[in-house]
Amino acid sequence: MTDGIPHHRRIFLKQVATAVGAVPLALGASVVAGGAAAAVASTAAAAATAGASGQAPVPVVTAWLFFDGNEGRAAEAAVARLIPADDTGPGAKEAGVAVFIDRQLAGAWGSGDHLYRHAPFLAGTPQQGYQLAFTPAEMFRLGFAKLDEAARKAHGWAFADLTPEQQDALLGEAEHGKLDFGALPSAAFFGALLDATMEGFFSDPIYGGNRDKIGWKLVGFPGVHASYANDIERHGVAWTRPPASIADADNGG
Amino acid sequence: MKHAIAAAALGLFAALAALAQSPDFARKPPAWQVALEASKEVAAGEAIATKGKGAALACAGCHGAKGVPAAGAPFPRLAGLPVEYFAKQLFDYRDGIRANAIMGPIGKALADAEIASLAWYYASLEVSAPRATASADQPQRGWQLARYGDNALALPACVDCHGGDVTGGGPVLPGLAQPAAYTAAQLSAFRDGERKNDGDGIMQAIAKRLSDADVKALADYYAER
Amino acid sequence: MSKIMPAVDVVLVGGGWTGSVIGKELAATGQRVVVLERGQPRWTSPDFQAPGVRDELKYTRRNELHQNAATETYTFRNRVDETALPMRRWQFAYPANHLGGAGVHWSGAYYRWDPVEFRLRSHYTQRYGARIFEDGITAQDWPLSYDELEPFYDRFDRLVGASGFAGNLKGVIQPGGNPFEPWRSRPYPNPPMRVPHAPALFGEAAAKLGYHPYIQPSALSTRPYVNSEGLHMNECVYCGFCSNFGCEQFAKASPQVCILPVALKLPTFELRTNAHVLRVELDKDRKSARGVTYVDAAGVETFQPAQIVTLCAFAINNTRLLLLSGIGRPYDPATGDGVVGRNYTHQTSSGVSLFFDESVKINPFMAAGAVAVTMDDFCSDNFDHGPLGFVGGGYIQIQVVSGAPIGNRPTPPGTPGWGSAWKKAVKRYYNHSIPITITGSALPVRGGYLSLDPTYRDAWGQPLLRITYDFPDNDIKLSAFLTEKGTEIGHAMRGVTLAQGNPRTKPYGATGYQSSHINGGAAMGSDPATSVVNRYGQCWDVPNVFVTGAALFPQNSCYNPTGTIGALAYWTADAIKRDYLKAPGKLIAS
Repeated sequence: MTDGIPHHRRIFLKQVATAVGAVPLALGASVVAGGAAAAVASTAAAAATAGASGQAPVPVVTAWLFFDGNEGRAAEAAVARLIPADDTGPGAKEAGVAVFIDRQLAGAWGSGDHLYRHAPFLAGTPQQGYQLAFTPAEMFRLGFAKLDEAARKAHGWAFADLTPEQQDALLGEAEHGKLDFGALPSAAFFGALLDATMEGFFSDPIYGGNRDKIGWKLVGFPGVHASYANDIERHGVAWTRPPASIADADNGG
Repeated sequence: MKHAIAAAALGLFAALAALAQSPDFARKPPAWQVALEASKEVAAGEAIATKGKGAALACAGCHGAKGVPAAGAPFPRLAGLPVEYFAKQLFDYRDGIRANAIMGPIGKALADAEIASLAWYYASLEVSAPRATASADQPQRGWQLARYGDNALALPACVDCHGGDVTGGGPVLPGLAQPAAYTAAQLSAFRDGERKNDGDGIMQAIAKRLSDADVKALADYYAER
Repeated sequence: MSKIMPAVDVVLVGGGWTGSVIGKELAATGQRVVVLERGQPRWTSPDFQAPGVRDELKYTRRNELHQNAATETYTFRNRVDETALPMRRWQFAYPANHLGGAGVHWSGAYYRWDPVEFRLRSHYTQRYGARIFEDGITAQDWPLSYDELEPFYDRFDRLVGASGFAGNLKGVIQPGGNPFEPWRSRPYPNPPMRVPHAPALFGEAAAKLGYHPYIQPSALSTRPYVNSEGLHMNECVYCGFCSNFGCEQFAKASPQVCILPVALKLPTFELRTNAHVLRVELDKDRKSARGVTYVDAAGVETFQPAQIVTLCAFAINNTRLLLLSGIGRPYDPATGDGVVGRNYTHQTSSGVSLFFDESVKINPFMAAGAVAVTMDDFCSDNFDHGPLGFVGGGYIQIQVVSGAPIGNRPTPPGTPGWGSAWKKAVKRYYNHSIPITITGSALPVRGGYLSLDPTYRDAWGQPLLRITYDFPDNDIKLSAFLTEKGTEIGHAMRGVTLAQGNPRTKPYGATGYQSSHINGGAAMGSDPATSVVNRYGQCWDVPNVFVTGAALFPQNSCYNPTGTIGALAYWTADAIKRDYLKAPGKLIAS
């Protein structure tokens, strides 16, 4: 940072000026939930990222169901480091993983419909697994807030406004339990975030992530193609058909 | 059981000796795969399709220019068929595994490389986008069978294997959009055991549980795809 | 009671494999039968049809077909001096929550148990001396033999359309099959599964090393098949959405595919779904059951009177029902007295991660629950245990079960879990990696048992089942041995650039999935001092209560359980029809 403007935000402002026209955004202001500002932020951010990796931007219309604007920014920034866009191709942000996480947290799973939530909540051995009371929604809400807090404490900016190197370092500290998130061990939050990121990157696009089958294309997973009975004995045959999603298969019928 | 155990012990000894060489779990690629991998050129195929070659009549004569038959013709669309499925059918016609009075001699007149070229040629042709479903006229039973199968008849949905659109469900699983007369003829042929090139008999078993009405419903449904 | 139903002859708790088989067998003789299934009905069409069924997030990650921890879970501790805590996030095993039970989303791996397994204690003692059993191991003989069970294995084979190549027909070893296979009276009804690339490479290497690889048997029909009930099965299409999923093809054997449609046509067979059984109700003298109490779909507590009660819930859930109902004396690990809850086991699984050269395409998405090349050279007592000092064995195989990438994204050891380095590695290795799977036997220990939790309850207010268990050293030694053997095979495979063995280590835990083969708590035996049920599955203490399933296992073999569970279900049904109905009461004096 040379002029007090964080690296990431500089690119953002440039793109906003050229791509979108003059939308006044004060330096350091948080983007609030809902409305044009959030939608603009996401579109411009997508454009910014796409420009950085040299690919055409995937059209995005984002309105958060669960996240507020700050959480959304933190989520997009975090997943962009966990699975980055690089020379292997687009990453979690382009794939809409933050949208996936948002939808999941807004739904039944996020509110703990598969979690046993009866007291007493006691600390257990590692073999006894998760014993906290947080639902996924509660955990992510607290976790992103604490991540931003840690970012401000270390560098004076929200997590989304740090350099990628700073973000990676902070995520690494969270991963190893070195950040103080209060009642929530930072390693527990990091583990849940990484799990959700992988789910969002590789699940069927019907859930909001794996946009354009970015995740499946990275590894070569065919998606919902059904029958391999005639191919499984063709040892080592190259599967060259494009991946198919549930919506692809549904819409044809 | 003692006798059986003794017999087993002797048998085991002999069998283990017999198994001294490794059991072969490897599979040879089918002949049509070998042909397809040998060459991907389409020029020879296009020539045969449009002009024919000896006993192999020009495909376009029945199957239409560009692989789409005239409306009402009972011959199947060839355009856009998976290259592996196409090649397998011609090999099967040639070897008598799939029986047809017209296609048999045609298959026999073609060399491996020519079949491969035809397969690549037809796979490269455009297939028109599925027509919009006319909801009022949509055969309900056909839609039901194609999308959900039938539990009481132990029938899985056609889309499970053949996919939901014209590109099909896999290399040897063609999309089912075809003229109604062709679909009905194939389902009947599977049902009567006249068509038998379906691996372990999966389509024969399925077709046997289809009534005449179900065959017509499916044929009409897929004619509209 | 808020409601009392008309009395029936037999009430079965659970609409899975054993409930469906025994319910149908008894109804077919005219017995008035009610099967109470706690979950909702699900049928192949429309519920398991594509493309909706091919959803890894829904079925594997969000446990669509599994018991929901929010309403019912287990508590767990390693040792008696610890406090058991609930499994709050469900990862441990996969009991089901709907009609068909785990028999719908299982993998279809299908085995008979080796004859030695049924006389485990006496066989190993005879051959190696009593001291081969580590102190504290409570393994014991079954009260029946493989030979007695063989016709019932055969019957279940024909119900499920078992696919395989018989290695031993009536005592004659068949070349090309598994030379260690126990004798069978007839061949498998269907030919073996197809062999994908990686299992073929495994088989090639295993044979080179002098082992006897063969194609694993399965309950996934390999061709169109009409089963023993006249029901149609189609062939497996290797779709790769098998374990944890319902099969869209009517190819994976399940109660819905193989037996329920016939049972439902019988005039005296009734299925009630959304019927959550709370307990078996006993007479004042506690020597006879009057029926069961359940909560119906509207939440009304209902009593179903019956002459015979058969527990057909998932594995150890049957043990819980015994404890909740006060049937049999609960086991006390401190004194060793009591029987209900003792002999809990799981499955000692491990693996060898394999990474291949880029020229070797694994295509892990061409898969099914039970497509594998496997070997039994180190199963049961097929090898000399003398120098090794442990009991038991395991099969070593490569199975290709799923390429779905949330769960299947292998990277070599040392790869970071995220970032560009991870991304590069997952792209490189997704189609060039697969593990060798090792499935080992499991022995019970004095301190390992099932009981009712004193603190935590389910959504119906009943105590959760508590699991207290840690591995005996025996099983850790077994796992180390098998994993070493597996790693050797890995190194001998063509195209392998890295083989890393990951043996099972202590302590046993409730996080991460090991297997759904959780067993015991209602051991079948010949002595009421060390078993809950007799050789027919009849409770010693309450003769009109029968127990089925893996709860009966006094210990676990290396082989998957369903084949044996199905055989025992037919065996128990026969005992009821042939003996019990003619003279209700104890079938074996005690």
